[in-house]
Amino acid sequence: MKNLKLKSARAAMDLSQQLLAELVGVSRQTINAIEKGDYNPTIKLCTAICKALNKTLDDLFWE
Amino acid sequence: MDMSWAKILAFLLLTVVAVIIAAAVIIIKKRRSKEAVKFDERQMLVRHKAVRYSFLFTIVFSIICMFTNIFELKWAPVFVQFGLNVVIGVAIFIVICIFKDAYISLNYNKNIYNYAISTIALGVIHLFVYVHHIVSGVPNLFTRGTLSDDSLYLFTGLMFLTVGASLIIKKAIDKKGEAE
Repeated sequence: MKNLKLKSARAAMDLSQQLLAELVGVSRQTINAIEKGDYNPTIKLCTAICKALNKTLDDLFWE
Repeated sequence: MDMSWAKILAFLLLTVVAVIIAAAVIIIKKRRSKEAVKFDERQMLVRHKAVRYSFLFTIVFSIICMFTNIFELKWAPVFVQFGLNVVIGVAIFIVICIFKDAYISLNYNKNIYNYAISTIALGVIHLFVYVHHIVSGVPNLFTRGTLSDDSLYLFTGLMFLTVGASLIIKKAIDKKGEAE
């Protein structure tokens, strides 16, 4: 299932996938896979993404 | 000692020497640069899966070779069977990693095209050696209905070409994805 919340939060901060990937220390393809719902990140990566986007886990990863 | 066993022993010894040299180069490089090759969690997962598929292929291929040897269905010398198993196994691992974005590490900041071109050049050299042997009159792909020793040059050449081509194709796909 696509993670549209993450995509919109990233877009709201005017960040590209590449920039977000560099902020959290992963590859661009990993961010792309999370947004497309092809990969379930670990809690460690989830929190890193949340911190980078100033959001909570509930905001981005809770349905 | 049987000739084929001598070849296997030579191949194994060469493999061990190659692994030792490669390990030494990696250790020296790591100490110099003080940074290890870095992959993220998804890439590590993909690489583990790729190793599993590659290993599975190697096991299945070995079993098939074992049965063909038991039933004396000669299709290639044992040396070529062993080499082919390694070449295809490595190719499976690399191609899966490339297409799942787990081949290039996060801290690899050199031009990927240079890497792809050098891999293709390596493949061309192997193919050249193979063609040169054919031209020189050395038995080519098949000898008396079985694969010849020289066929390994062809397969390693094809493996390097596949890796180089995969890198270029993947880069083109990524560029398209980035544009979208």
